[in-house]
Amino acid sequence: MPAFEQALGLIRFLEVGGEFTGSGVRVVFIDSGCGKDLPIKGCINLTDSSDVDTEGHGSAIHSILAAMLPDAEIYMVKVPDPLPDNVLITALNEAHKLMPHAVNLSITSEIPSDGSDPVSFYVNHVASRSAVVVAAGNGGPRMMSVGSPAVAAGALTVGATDLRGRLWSRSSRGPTLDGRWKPNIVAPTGYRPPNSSKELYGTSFSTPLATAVAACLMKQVNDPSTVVRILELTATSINLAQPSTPLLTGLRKAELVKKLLTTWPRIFDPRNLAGMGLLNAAAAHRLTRQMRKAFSTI
Amino acid sequence: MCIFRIPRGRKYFCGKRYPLNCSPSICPFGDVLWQSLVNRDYKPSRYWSMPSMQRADSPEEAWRLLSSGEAQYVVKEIVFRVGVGECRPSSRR
Repeated sequence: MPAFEQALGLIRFLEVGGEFTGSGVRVVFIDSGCGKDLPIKGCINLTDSSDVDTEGHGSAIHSILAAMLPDAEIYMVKVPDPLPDNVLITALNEAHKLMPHAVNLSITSEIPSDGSDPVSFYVNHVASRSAVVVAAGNGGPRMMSVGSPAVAAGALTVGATDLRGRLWSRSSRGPTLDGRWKPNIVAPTGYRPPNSSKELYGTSFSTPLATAVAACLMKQVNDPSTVVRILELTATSINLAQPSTPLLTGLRKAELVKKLLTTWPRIFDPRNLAGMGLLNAAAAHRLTRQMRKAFSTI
Repeated sequence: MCIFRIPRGRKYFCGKRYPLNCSPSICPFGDVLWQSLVNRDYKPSRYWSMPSMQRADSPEEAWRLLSSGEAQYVVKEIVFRVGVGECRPSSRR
């Protein structure tokens, strides 16, 4: 699986792979199912079908998490697709009951929100105890294409880059409807997950890379907001060669776009494209270690 | 697509600014974004009364919850997608 190792190399996970084995770490992923013959501790099925994934999305997420965290306890909450918001809230509640270190949510909508919708509300609730890692969505290069639940303030929203570390053109962009910048960080996509012959593209597959790192950091610092901040502060800045495209859904009239850009300059914030940059597992681990050392000496 | 734009009779009201009708001048997100949000709309099957997170089955019920003070604001149901991504056969061996 050279491409998967390339993705791990890009986020500098291979440097900390010996320590980030997932030992004592509990991860929950909410998705379309789990992979066959992959380690799983438990499964909560909110559908009428079998736990095993038939569409490939859930099994890809599962295989990525299992490869990065071989010693972790991995749980899955199976949800239907399309997924009504009440079922997603039930799934988040089930995940919350398991008290995981991290929850992987490769689930998207491109409906703009200011974070006051029920699912974002509930994501913030779960994020008070666990790191909730959410895919930004594949609505780029339109601005404001990041939708619920990725807009939740407490979520770690993950956009995508290609394997060369350049921003993936279809990665959803911020800001949120109330003007906050999102995504928080980006991680690679377009790699072949373990046991797969296909290259997978989408922020869905960037998300488990960040989930694995966030879960290991959560075990060390046990505070989701600190983990999000550590990952933001240690992210590697990426080269945004392409200028921000002033594209907005429904705003086809040039004068409206012009008016928006003059009255709402925050849309130009580069953090709306790739957040604070590319996930850097080694730097995050180093900073966490330094923080723990500093606080233990006070 | 606006999650707060809720039909009432032949007009729309703002689920966030009860009892005002949806219009660029009262939009919480400004007049330009209002244009962007209302150009594409969607019809949900249910609504949410917030912050109590109770379900409302119709726009009339959502209006009633707002008028009685049971809801601070009302949002439309959102349907999410699982597994939106692209698969490409690997180019490398």
